[in-house]
Amino acid sequence: MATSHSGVGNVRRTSTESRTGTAARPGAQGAGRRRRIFGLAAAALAATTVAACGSTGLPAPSSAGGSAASGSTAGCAAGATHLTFWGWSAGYDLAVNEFNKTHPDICVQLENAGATTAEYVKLNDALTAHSGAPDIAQIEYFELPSFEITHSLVDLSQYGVGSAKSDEAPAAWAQVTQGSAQYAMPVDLGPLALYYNEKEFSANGLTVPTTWADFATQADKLHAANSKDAITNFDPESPQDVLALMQQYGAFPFSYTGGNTLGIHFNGATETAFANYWQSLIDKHEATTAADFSPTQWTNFDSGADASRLSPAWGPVGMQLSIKQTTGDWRAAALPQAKTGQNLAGNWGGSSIAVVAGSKYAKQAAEFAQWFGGSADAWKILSGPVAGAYPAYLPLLDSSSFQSSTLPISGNSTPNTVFASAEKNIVDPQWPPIMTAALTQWTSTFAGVTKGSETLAQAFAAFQQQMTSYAQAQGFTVVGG
Amino acid sequence: MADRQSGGGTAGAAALQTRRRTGHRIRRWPGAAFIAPHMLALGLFMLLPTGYAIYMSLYTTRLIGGTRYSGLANYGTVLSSPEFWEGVRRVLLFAVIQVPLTIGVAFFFAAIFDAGVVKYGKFFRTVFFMPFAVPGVVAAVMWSFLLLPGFGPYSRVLSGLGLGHVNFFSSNLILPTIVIIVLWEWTGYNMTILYTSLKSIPREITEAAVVSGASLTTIIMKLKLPMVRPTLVMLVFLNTVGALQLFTEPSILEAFQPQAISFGFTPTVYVYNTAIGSGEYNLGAAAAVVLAVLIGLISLSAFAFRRRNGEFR
Repeated sequence: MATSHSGVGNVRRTSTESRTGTAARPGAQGAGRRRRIFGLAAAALAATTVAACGSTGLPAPSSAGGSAASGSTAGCAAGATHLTFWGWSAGYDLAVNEFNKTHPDICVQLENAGATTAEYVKLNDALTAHSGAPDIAQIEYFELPSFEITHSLVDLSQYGVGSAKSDEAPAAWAQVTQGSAQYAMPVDLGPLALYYNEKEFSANGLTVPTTWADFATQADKLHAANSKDAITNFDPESPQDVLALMQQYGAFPFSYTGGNTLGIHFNGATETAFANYWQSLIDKHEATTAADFSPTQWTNFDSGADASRLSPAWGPVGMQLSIKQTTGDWRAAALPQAKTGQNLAGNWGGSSIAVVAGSKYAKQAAEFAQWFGGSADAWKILSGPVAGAYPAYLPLLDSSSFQSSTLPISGNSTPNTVFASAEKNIVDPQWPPIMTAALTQWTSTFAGVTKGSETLAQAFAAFQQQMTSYAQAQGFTVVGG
Repeated sequence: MADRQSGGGTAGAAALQTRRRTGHRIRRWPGAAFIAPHMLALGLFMLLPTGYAIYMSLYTTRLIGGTRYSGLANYGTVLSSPEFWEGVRRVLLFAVIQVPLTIGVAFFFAAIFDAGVVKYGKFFRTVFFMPFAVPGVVAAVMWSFLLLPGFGPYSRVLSGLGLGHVNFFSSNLILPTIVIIVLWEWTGYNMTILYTSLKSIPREITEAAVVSGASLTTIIMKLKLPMVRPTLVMLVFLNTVGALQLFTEPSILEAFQPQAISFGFTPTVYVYNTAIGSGEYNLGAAAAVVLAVLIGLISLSAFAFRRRNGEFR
């Protein structure tokens, strides 16, 4: 059932993206339950817009580009090595077709086994059953350690994929490697920036804050000028959003470097400071707590009720479909810093391409993975209007045409310059190998913060306990604090 | 086959034995052949999975350390989990509200149609039954869009009427919202069964009552209602079991409003979230077995109740 939702969400989202046409780069690989609402919320909006545009039907995710459908092996030479690839993002089929065209010896067949957790569950089941697993799979960065610990991914370094390192953002590379082993090839990322409403800022005499302390000062100033206005939105129930901000704050609550020991630190000093910081903004009504991607959140941004968004790089494209009045007013700036003089960024989203253990053609699969994430040919398609992924691939990220591109929501400004430099400053998160459970259990635990029945610090304490007992039940030695 | 054996006294049994001895194979195979598909399906899709779930629930698979026998430890975890019991309490509350409401509304319409006091009864009966033909998932998705805060037509109509911003998915209203959806889905089905049952009441009885000067309300409440009591009891039982397994609606609503549906919103949602969401298949299996036992106990007591009331004689 869950599978079918994400499916629905994806289908519709695809159609929205393809209709934008212009320099689109959402590549929104947020995960878990959040992704599903985003999908459905987008579906809700898409359903109306599609009707309004008089467009016919909704294209299947794989045929979004209008070219050959996924799973098509047309054009493959006889005798080519056949590889199965599980992926869900829009436009992947186009890149696969391009690969098949230019690599006659290999024939990759793309299958959509569901988006994010739906796919991971299927992949896990197939691996457990020792049957039906694909050769290649799209896996988000946070999920890689969960597959590494079960020895389900092929170390790509033996096939020379390490040569791609210099072309990839360091934060992406760090997340796909563990020591000398490389378990996946990075594709896209979602570096965070402060995306603010310039008119709202100047009308209220706000300056672009460089530290979080300053951010809170500006929030006070705004709220004093208009008691209904908040500086930004903070959704406590969105694990990936909160974790991305914690990462940037120097408060990432997990530490893990492989093996049996797992650090869980929701009660740590920096983590508590982070919790108290946001709780204070929430208490003063200077930060709203609408659900990410909910209609309420978009209304808040568009009405000026929220003056800024702590947005991932793929955020603005989806956002400009959901706002009207403030189109052209939004500017990007680096995130405020925990300490003066720092220049750190967080990351929300992005995927990698992994070769699944047991594949008979790991070498060819590795060749495909390297091409898919790290070649100009692939990125011509992946950064195009259908796929719209935000590159971890540096030659594209650093190119002047990419950095100087504009979006209607940001007027004449070039938000990519800000997001691209943020991508170089992402703090590497050490994802724990229990992310599926963390994502599943997060929302229930943090719902009280939105309701006002508990503080963020209390939710952290409860989650610390939940994750600790889960990890211990899974056999980990937990280092807490 | 069982009937044939139990029916008849000694003479019958003797005759049966003779028959058995002579044409034993020939007489037996058609029955066996006819029930074979059912038994096969029952075995493959009910007994085998149930057995496997029980087997799985006795083991624990860890990321570190693999799978090992853990006895009843998983049951201990489930029984001491506040989230599981929160879900059980919620479905019981749900059943207490939803079951009488659905059957009450269903009986009301069945009686009206049966009495023939409305025009186009056949047409409306079909219309009322139609929601049952809509798959539960589709119904839940449809209602989610209809009730979506700030977007769905119902919340707009309510705010247009000056009733303010009603959030059907808020944690206070989520259960009533599910009651509405389930009511919509199941009333027609219950109504049809009750209608059939009402139709089977001999015409003369109603006519006698009419001749004696009984009002329509009296006929329905004092005469027909007691006569369809066995059907009502059966429907209460079926609806209660269905309510305890509430899954489709919350799991669809979760996609729209995750904060409204907690980890253990209902016992089946708990089973899903532990097994699929957190990868603890063994724990999920134990929770499923506990739920099956709870439902089994309720079924048994319902059975005993009906037996005492003289059914299954």
